Amino acid sequence: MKNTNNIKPTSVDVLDEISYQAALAEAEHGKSTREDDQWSRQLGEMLDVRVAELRRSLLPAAAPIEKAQPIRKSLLALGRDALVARITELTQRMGGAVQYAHRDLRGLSDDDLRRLLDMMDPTPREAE
Amino acid sequence: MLTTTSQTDHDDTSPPFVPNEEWIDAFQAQATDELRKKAKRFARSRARVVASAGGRADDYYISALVQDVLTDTLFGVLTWDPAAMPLATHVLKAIRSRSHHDSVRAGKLQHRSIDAFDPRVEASAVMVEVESSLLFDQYTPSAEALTFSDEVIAHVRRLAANDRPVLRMLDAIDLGATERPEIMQLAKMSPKTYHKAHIRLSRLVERLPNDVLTGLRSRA
Repeated sequence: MKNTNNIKPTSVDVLDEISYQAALAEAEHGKSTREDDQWSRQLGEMLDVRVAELRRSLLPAAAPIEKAQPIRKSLLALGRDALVARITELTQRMGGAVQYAHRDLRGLSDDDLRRLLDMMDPTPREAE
Repeated sequence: MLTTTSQTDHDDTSPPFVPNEEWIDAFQAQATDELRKKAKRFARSRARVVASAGGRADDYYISALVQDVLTDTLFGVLTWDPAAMPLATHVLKAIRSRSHHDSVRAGKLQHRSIDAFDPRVEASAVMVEVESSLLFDQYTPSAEALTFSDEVIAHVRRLAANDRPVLRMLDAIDLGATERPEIMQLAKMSPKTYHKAHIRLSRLVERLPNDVLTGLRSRA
């Protein structure tokens, strides 16, 4: 209902505009009830759920979980000291090409050490 | 003419609405508790005209009006561009558009006898709601709607009585002013006078008793 086009608004337009102006004033200066407070909280929770859905939809699809291969038989026979020695030797030989998160191998179990060595060892499995 | 927030007719075959992260951040930052309550106060005031036309305008209707606009925005039924306008403006525009549509529809239904009521026609009326909302600019009011509006406006003026600033504000709106600066200019008002008159206009519309409006409606 702009007067810039010089078209006189109909009474339906005028009534709608009066109602709109009154509603704007009510929105700005009116007061909400306790029920409104509760309703708003509930609606907010509902909207949060939908927003979370939208955020999840932006995430890349989850990568398929790869099943670990069985540990080589040759490693199963090694004791703790031998495992640590092999890991140290491999790390030194490969230099920066190999990295692992555990700086202190004492925190790892024997099986963890076997799994780590199995992953580090560049020897093809078929060679066993 | 009414301005409408653009609506997209999403059917089952449409791809799901997936806004980008910036859009989601903007929505979440702006869809605050204060915005929701402000929108409800706005909707409550707008519902008075819907009720005056014979429509349902109880607290359930008012709450649903706000909730539907917000969820329709989140589902992409209503298009909101955060760069174009704040969420609050978008929400109030959409509530205005839908409540106007509801009051027009209520006015039409009130002039039909109960025997003539056909639920299939009503169902199709709901189906075309989105499209018809977009056609407000081309909406041609019926003679009944014009008469009814004339009488309600006359009643508002009677309620305003000798409140000259409010009467000047009504005159400005009657001339086609819609924006605050436009109304202030046409009504020759200072910002302070406008502010006070705006609040009084709101209280005045709030006072429009339903029985008076219903009486006007039956005579229209």
